Amino acid sequence: MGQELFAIIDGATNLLSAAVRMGAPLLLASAGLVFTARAGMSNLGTEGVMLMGAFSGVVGAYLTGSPWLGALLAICIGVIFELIVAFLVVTARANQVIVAMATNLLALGLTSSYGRVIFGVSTRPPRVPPYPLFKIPFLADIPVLGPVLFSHNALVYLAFFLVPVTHFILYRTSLGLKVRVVGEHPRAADSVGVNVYLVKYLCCLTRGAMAALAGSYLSLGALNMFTENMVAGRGYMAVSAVIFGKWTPVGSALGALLFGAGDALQMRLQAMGWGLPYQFVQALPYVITLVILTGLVGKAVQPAATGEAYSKE
Amino acid sequence: MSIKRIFGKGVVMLLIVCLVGSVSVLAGCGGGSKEEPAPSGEGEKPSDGSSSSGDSSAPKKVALILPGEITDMGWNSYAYNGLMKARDLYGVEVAYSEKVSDSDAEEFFRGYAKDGYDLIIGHGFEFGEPATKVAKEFPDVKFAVTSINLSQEPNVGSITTDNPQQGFLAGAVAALLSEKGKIGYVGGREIPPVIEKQKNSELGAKHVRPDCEYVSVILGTYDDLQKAKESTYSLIEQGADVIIANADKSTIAILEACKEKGIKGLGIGGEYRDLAPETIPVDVINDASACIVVLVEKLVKGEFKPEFTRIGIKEGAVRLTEWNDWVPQEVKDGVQKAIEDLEAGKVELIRVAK
Amino acid sequence: MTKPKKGEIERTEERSEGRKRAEVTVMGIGRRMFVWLYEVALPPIVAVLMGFVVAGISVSLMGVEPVVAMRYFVRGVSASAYGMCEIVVKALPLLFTGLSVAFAQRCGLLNIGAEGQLFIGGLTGTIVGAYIRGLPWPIHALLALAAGFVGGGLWGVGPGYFKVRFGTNEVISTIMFDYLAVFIVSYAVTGPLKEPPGFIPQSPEIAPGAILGNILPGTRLHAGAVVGLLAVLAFWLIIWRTRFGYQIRAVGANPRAAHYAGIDVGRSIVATMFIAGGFAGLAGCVEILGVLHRLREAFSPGWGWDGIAVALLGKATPLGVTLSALLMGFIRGGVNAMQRATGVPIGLVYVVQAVIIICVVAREYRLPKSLRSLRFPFFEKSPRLKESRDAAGGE
Repeated sequence: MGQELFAIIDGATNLLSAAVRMGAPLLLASAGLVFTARAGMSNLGTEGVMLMGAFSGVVGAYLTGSPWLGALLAICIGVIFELIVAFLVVTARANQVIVAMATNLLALGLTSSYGRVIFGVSTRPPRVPPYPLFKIPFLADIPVLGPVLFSHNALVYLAFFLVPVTHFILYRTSLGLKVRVVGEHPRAADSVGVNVYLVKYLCCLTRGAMAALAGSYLSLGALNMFTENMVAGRGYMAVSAVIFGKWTPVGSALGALLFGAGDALQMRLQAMGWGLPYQFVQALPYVITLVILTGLVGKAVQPAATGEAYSKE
Repeated sequence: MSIKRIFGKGVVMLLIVCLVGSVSVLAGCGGGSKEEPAPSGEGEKPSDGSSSSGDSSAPKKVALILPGEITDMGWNSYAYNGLMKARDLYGVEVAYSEKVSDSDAEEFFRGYAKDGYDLIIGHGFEFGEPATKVAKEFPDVKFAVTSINLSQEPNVGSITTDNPQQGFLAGAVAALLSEKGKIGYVGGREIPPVIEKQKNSELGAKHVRPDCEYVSVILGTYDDLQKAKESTYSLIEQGADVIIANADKSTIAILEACKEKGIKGLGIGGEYRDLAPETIPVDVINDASACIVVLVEKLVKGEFKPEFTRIGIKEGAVRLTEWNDWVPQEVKDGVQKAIEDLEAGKVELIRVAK
Repeated sequence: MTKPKKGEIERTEERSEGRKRAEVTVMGIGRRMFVWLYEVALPPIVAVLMGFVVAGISVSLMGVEPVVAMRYFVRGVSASAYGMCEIVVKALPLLFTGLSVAFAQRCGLLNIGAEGQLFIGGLTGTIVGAYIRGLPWPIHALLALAAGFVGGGLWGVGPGYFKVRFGTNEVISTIMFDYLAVFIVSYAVTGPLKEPPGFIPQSPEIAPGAILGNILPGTRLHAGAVVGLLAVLAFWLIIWRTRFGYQIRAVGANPRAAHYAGIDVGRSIVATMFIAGGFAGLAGCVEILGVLHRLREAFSPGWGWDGIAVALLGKATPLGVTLSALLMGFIRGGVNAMQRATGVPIGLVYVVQAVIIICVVAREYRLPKSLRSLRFPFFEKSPRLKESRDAAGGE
């Protein structure tokens, strides 16, 4: 009896810590996406920015030998990428979804064709130093919580740390207020002296930095290499997490962790070998999400000015 | 006036684009307006090849059609390496195309055939139908497809490495190394080679150790490295203490996960031993590049026949590398015995691709 | 509103406040053509030039002579009837997914789910096309197409219904439906639909009666092109010539106003998603009946996603979508030819596509007011068709 209980606790611990690892990139990205979503912008280009982040993180670590400089390069590239996007979307008032699609295509094309220019073609990936695992002393020794929350690399802690921070910025500072007003009613924001363009630019750049960092978590955190299309749909999942969380930082974080948990559960179910076709098990996280969306979340109202380009005239 | 209004911005845009365009063309190729004559270039085919179709003294031309990118560290990489090896060995002229989708395959076969290639290889079972279709139009051109048994046409051959043998070997190695008697398998997509190796690694494991437990995960993708890694963790949590990895570029992620958890892992495919010498006992080599080399050799020697070839342990396309030194002698002996059983025909391998 | 004569147009334009109204209602046929050229036809040309330039630079970075590469590109798609028909063959699935996204957009919906609907349409089309035997040619093909349409349509109804019933954001639900569709097709071809004798994960071949045959000997052009034309026509008819289309546009313009005008908004949304899904389903179905002849796992290289760009580039008009689909087919065909000859990585096709899309959207850049107020003729705002204005989709 006691042994069974032990096994169950053990399994749950493993499951949850895998959920945190799988959810971390979504969590990181959503910390940026919340701002843009709140400022009324479409986030569908996240996939591309994450891919650029994953790529440039490895390039940076490859050239300098340090994962942290890789992360820095990833952030820089992400910000530059988003600067272009922001110019197109905010200044040029181009359709956001179409720019997002172009972003994703561009990232896929650039990373796959320039990857081999930089790394060459081989059956062996360039080895770069990964983000080191950092167990928090004492806390990591707590039975269940330790492995689940306190035995990861630094980016995971950062991801968790950013949840209250984004919440604070969004709801307790004037900048956050500006962001929310811009998303709901840009004209009103403008009339009280908020620089709508500036706010949108800032949100975009934040998203770029966070999404690129999330991408580098995939290439430098989970593994120490880059391969083509390695983000594998996580950008869209991060967008889903934010919508799931009704555009709030805490809700998005829960969404990200839920998606992570769904994935972690799926793998374990498959590994237990129930003889179910693997596709059914793999579809599970998505089915759960759909059910939750219909039942639990209920009617969610997105920021009123979502998807619209703002012009002063 | 209204025309100006309508065209105003268009003109500006055009001006800017032309300016940027000409500057970057100048910077890019240094040739300025050389780009322009291109549209009329339909008649100047011979400039870059396609002259060799007639005379036999010119080097033979070989084209390779790949379903994925050559940097995938697996299926496509090995074929690419094989093509390069064949080029160096036999002096053939080579070309390849990556990420060819099912819908476009026919176009690629036909395009290469029209350009005067002597041998066109489709790397993957999905290229069987387009190859046979196009082959009828070009009786002088040789077509080959890998990992499928297909040979009826006068100029279509096929070749595969012996996937079941590799699976069997890997399973035997894993089972003999396992302490708890439970091994795991991580596969990429549910395609014949992956399934063959999955089924036969179970067979191999049970052959050397009848009580061996076997768990497996199919990833459904090759791209998602994090998923590969986490799936491996989940197998390890299930109690598997040796993992067989067969998922192209995800293989490295799987072996990495094994290394982190201090579990033994071995990859089917290429050489991974030096990634983690302390946890990888040996590599089961699946020399997919040998397929390409064999095909080209046949072409060059004029022995290409519309037949199906399977290359395995006997031909050296499936083999074990040197053992890492921590592997106990009885494991090596056990595996050697399994190989002998295999060659003596004592084992009935499960063949999916007939 | 009355129709002023030609002279009056110019006078109206002098008064800026009256301008907007005049643009929409007063446009004569000739100007309509002009504006159409400017709005729809010119941008792709400019953008393609730009794409060529970027491609040239990238190619030269990879050590290939850009002029040579470009020659292969152009030769590949323009030197023969075969090459030109390849453009159409490649454009077809994009045309259908583009129409799908455009149709949903007319109702103010963003159909990210075209990819999933495409897979399900391919699946149902294959079931009817491969498992019913002995039907004569046109009937069987039409049945299979209908199955593809209904399959994709039903897959589109899901997110539509969720939106109406539970208020679920259609972006997130269609993404989920995309994944589910991929899993369903993957299960189908590895399980129940697997071809009996072989062990390859693929369905049996489509029956001869259901195959959309070749319509131009010596090329790959198949009867699906006709289906594509009919779909474009149907799109136009539904949107502009039916009551239902009017309702859709009304909901797309302003759901609340439509509701007060007595339109059942929920029903319109669900019906729109059905038809949009149907178009996407046809994409998969036509590709299978016309080119692939059997269902395989992951048979789409992302047509559903590309369809979003196609629809938005084409301003959600039937003609625009057709042209932008052809444009994408042109790029794909050209880069394929270039890759065959020079080994340039296929990733380039994405770069070129992205640059072209960005160029087209960047064209809509408006200069700051301060500059424009100089009343410099070049910098004045261009008139825009009404439909291009309400085509702006939202998330």
